[in-house]
Amino acid sequence: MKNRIQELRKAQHMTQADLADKLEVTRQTIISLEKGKYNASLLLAHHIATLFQLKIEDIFIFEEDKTDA
Amino acid sequence: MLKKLFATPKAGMSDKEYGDLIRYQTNFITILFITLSIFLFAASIPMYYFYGHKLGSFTSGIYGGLIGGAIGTKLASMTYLSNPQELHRKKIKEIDERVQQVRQRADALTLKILLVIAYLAFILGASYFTQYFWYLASPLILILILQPSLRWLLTKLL
Repeated sequence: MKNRIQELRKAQHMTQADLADKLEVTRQTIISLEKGKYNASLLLAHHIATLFQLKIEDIFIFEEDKTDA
Repeated sequence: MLKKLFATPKAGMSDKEYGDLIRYQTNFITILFITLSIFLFAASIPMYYFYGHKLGSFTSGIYGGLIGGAIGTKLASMTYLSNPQELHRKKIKEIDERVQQVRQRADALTLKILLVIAYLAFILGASYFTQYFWYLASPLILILILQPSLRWLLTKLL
């Protein structure tokens, strides 16, 4: 699953540490999310969407042909 | 009481709530360890008085471990409970879902590795049906009983 977290974060002039603080996760989690190495849970995705004032589907791009672990 | 004792920190929990939970759990562990060591020590007194059995190094090690564990747990909790930034950092580490997933995977992998080692020990020990064989076989038997039982229980509960 791809996501636009990095793009949205940079647009708001936030560092990874700032975003991690706001979402109450570690900075390593933000790095993994941005790299697409980790898929956020529904709860975290909801928090991210609320923070950026967007819908979940506007941030996370689901690719149907790929199976995500 | 039990619910609070075995509660795990959850996302959305405030630092104060987390601090209270940690304080409660560490206080319980400290009291439990000290009570256990006092109880064990008290239980050993009649053995010494009537039979002259002195505390062995193993038993002394247990007392030392329990008291050391109690003091260590309390000191560690006091350190981060008195430092709000450290408490917040610790909370984030505990509630972070990725960290939890990593921890779960590591635990599952550890169990699999232990299972392989136990199988090897079981095969090697099978040629000598001594008590050592049962020492080697017991963790394997326990794992084989516990794993499906817990899986069944958790499937029902969750």
